Amino acid sequence: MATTATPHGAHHDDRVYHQFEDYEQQTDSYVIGMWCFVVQEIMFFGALFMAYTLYRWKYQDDFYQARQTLNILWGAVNTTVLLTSSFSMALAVHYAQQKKQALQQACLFFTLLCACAFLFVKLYFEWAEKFRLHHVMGPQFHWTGSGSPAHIQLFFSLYFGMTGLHGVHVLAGIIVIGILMFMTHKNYPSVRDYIPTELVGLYWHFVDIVWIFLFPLFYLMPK
Amino acid sequence: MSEHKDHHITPISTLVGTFLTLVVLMALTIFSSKIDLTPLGNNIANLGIAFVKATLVVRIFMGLAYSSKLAKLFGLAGFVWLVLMGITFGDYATRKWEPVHGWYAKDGGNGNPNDPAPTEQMRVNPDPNPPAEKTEE
Repeated sequence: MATTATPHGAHHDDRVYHQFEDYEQQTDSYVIGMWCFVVQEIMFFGALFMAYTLYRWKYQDDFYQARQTLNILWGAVNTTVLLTSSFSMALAVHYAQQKKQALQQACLFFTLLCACAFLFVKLYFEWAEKFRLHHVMGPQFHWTGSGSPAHIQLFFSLYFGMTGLHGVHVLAGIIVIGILMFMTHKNYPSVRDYIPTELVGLYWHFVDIVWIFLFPLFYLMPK
Repeated sequence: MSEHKDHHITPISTLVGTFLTLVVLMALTIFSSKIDLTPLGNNIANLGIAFVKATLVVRIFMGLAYSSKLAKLFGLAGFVWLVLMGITFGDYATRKWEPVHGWYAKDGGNGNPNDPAPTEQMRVNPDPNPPAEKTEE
């Protein structure tokens, strides 16, 4: 390998782009860039968590009535599925760092399956039932239980808004993981390093963390 | 193999341990929600466990525990919105002492319906459309 002099006088490293001092700084820049994005996403969800907290504070009794229609079992299943997918994603990063590509791809594929299972449970077992029972806010809304229907609709607006936005993030995760797997399979130069897997991992763990808070706030809300 | 020295590789045993802890914590939060700890106690248990789980994911799975100080600072920035939330709630929580016209449910606003109607002295701004006063006929 020919060693070319760099402006910094440091030894040349093939993996380092010219705007970075060294490999460590480059890696750190990528990771911090992804964290910037994640922090913005937290602010994005934060506004919704704020709205949820405020309305639950005001209409606690009505919200408790509405929350009793949620199925804790499906919520727990989905939490387990997402935690498992986060674990397999962490394993994928682990294998990517060790350049064990087959194992990395297997872990990514498992993560992808978990993400699809999560969306399937969410849409087929949970949302579909709410449409059938007319619990979706809007002109079709019908509520037979106790509590103010206006406030119950507010609860379901927040429920669909927040789990829906989270679902969109899961869908985006599926697409991103799929692209990463394809590029790794085709051995694109840009994914030979472990960093792309690490960054996709950061995103996926963030999606997991949002659900970690959504689950107790919606499904386990006390009276 | 020298290139493997410049980044931390989390051992599989740590990842497995973290995953099992997360699942146990999830079971614990469901269990604690089934027993009555008073609403405040249940909320603290729910959110406390959620914070522990999130911290585990951030530190181990996202690897912030092994990252540079700058990356840790950015991770910490994710909690800034909690401060904003606290400030916003400072507003809502003190409206009983610092009344806002139109907030009270009994005043036609969308405040907590359980709050008492504000007294005349509590109203900062007078009603913009007061009921027409009786005029002499």
